[in-house]
Amino acid sequence: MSDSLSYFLMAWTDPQLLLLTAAGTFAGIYIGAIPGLSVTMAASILISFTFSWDVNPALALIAGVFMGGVYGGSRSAILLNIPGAPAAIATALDGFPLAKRGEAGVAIGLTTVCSFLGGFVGIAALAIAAPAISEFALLFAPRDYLLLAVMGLLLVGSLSGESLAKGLYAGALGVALGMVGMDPMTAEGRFTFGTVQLLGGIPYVAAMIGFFGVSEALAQLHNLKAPRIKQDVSRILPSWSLLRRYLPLSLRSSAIGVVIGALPGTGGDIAALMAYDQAKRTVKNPSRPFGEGAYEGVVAPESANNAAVGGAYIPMLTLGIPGDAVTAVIIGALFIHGLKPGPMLMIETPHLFWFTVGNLTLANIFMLVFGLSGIRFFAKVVETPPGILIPLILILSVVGTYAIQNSVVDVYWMLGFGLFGYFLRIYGFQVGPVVLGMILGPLMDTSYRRAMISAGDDPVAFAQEFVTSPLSLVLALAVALLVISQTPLWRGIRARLAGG
Amino acid sequence: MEQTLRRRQPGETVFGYALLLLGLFVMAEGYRIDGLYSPSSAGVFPALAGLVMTVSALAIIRRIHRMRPAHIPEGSGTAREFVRRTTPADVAVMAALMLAYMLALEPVGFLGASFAFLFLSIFYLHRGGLLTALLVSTGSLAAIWVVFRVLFTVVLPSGWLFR
Amino acid sequence: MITRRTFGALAAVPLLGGLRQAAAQEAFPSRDLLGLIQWGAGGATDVTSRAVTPHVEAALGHKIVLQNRPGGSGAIAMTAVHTANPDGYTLLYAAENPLLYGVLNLSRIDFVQEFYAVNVLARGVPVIVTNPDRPWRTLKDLVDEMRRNPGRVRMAGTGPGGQPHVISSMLSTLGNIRHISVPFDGEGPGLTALQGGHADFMPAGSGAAAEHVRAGRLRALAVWNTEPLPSFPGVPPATADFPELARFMPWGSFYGVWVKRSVPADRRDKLVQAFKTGATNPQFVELMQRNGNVVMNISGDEADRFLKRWQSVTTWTLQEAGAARTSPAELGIPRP
Repeated sequence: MSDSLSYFLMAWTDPQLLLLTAAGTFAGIYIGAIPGLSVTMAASILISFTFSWDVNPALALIAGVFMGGVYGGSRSAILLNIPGAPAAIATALDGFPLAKRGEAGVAIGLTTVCSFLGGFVGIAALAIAAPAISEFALLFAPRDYLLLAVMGLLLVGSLSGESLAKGLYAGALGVALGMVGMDPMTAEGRFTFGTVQLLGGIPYVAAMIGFFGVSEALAQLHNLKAPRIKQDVSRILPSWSLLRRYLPLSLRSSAIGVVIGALPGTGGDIAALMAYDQAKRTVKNPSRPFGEGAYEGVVAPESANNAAVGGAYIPMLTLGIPGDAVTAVIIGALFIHGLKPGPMLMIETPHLFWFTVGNLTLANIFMLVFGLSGIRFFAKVVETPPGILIPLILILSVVGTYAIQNSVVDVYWMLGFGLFGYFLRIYGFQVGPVVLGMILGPLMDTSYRRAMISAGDDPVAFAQEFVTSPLSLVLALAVALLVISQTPLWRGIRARLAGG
Repeated sequence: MEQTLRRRQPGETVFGYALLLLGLFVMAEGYRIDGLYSPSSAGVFPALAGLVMTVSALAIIRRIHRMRPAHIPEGSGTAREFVRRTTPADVAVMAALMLAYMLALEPVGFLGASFAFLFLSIFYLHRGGLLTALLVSTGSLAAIWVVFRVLFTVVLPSGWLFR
Repeated sequence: MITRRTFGALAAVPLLGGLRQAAAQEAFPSRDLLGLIQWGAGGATDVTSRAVTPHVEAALGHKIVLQNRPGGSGAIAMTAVHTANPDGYTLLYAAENPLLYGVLNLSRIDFVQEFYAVNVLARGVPVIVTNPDRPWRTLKDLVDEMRRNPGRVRMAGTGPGGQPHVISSMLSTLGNIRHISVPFDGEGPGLTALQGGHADFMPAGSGAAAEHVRAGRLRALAVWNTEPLPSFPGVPPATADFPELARFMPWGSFYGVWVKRSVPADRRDKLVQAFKTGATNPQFVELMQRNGNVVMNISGDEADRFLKRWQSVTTWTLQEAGAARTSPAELGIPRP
């Protein structure tokens, strides 16, 4: 145990590691905030950059970038309505309305504290229950991933805008867009029309930037002359009573984040969306209606996506299985540095585990410190005259989209989505479900087909498996309950029960 | 319910039918992928997405028809109202500028095209004078260059037109 | 006023471009190179590419900016390098997949004809693994089970043309073998599903499977080789049970670096030299061996012979298994 403690404190006591963790976290926040620059990309670059270093400083730097990056995505989501990273999509739904109300400072303060809380829960889960959680994560069969994706997609029902039909249309459109490209299971092209450019699919980050950022920027051109909203930056740190009120929600969301993060097929983006959905269902009296600047709407996703960081490390450190794209890169880094990531890693190099736990804790603290400083300055971004801000948003959207994979074609997609999203907004649609469909559609498609193939392409055997596996049964019942609770039938039952 | 429906926006009916066409197209293309030969074929979800799009587009169109017609002032036509209300000059100009910027990105190169775009759009939108536009575009472009090209080694288009 | 300033900014670009081009004619390389990696971050191709590149940069004197450009089984990255200016500044870091694009209808570009192998760095040796809860101890047990219960045993695959697909096609030449192939997103996710009991067996790369086998979380039935592998002590070669499989071996995925064949020969030679030096770096060699890979470090004609044989064996196996969409005969690939 004393060994564990000394490994835990390694990054805290060594000035070099301390500095690297701090630098990594700081850089991560900005990498996360700039659309198009992703933590995965940064981690890959850092592998080349830290090639000749020892493994510990390299890992310290990457852990800092990871922690900071997942948090940083919320910055641009709140200030510009461009989620800096897919994990911040849910944050934009209520974060940007908050900024429009002049509460950007409060929103950033609240997300920072919640990210810290979530990050801490994730690290605690990693430290205490890693082996148990990773065994649990392995239990998820393709059909269970299908159920999770369906559960996430039910969020469309509450993001519909004017009518359910509009939400369904947008969601299905997103699913169709997510299918574009070479089908990974059969190598057949889908909606590719024989072109190689479309074989790789449409990156959903391009759609995210277009639908959220560009369409919003275009919509804002309508009220160029409207008076600017004064940002209230008198109180940044959320009050103690506010925190106490949201603590249970934050912890619930963090638990979702840990599990979704630990699952090898899902990451922080899906965790945040599911936590948002959960908040929307369980919070009876939100501070404001969801979608119009509810504090709950930023508390839930931000707690969940940072909890997913610790979650993603769980299968990686215990089994050598990546929990998401970033931990996949870290596994590569471990290989290059001469370690053997796998189930024996914890037994043969136990210091690595506690070093990582200590390091993540440190990064989490730095994230809180850096996150809370400079908020006043950032809140003022929203006060920039729109004539300057809108061109800057547009150019950042272009560069960010281009940077995803150095492709001008992606930029065309992004602009197309921006214009299309602009008209969708005008005619009373929400753009959220499109991006939701693009993220969850491929997961749903591949999981469903895997499950069906596993059952020998026999629909009866396929259906039976949902009942015979306890995990699938629980998830299937949860999905059924969620669906019923959205129909008039449920309201009828509740009314009758209440009437006695 | 009926009276809570808002007025139609100019162009909304056309938009609704366009969505329906898109849904039918996705459904047909989804079916064409592999003819849905098995319950796990590659076309299942694309075709299903197309079906959902088609059905919900029909519901959307029905609702549009139930709305009160768009308010068209005396002496104006639907087309003119569409332009006035949904695509005011600023939106049209910015969309055109963006399109021109993207077309110029590869031939002119990132720096030249971006500078032109930033400068022109700030000059047009902000109306705060040449100097502001010049300073803001130069400063922000320099920052973008440092972050993306230098730190993140993103190879931005260097242009071939002026080589 | 506006026009003049804008023009000034535009004029600066061609000036820089012109200088750069003039310099390029003097020496190669005179600026940073671009390396497109065919697969995503964290995969075997990515790790191999990122491990060798720093040593190559040292020999070359310039940086190679690495970028992952996954998608379309790697066809996207290959097409990008194919359309790039053949000046030797754009490299393709690829695995074995491009050799199969023709029979799988993914691209009409003839990889061996159009690309020059700067270096085939290393090849992996596949290992057939199962979940340790399954009763099978040897490859024969597994084959017998597939014969007894046709269409019941589930293999974790990685899609058409992937290593599990090809190996199972080779296995099916033993006759009367039918199984279900569940495609996962890659080797890692497949091995994960195997440990969760969501699939029964998988032919996987030795590097990806080694640690899980060592920890007892997966059982190795056989290595796809004519001899045992040092990194898998006690695991017999597949030919121990089925000697007739030897005609396919050695077979496995490989990793390497290519440029377009139309790159000037002197530039190709410079690259070949730099990669030859990089691939002999002890640090890189050790990493490859630890992952159970066989270091190859071959280029030019020698690499071409290897690639042509590999392509012939693999495409005709796929053709016999009915998995080829275009016959290798149509593409002019000779029978092995």
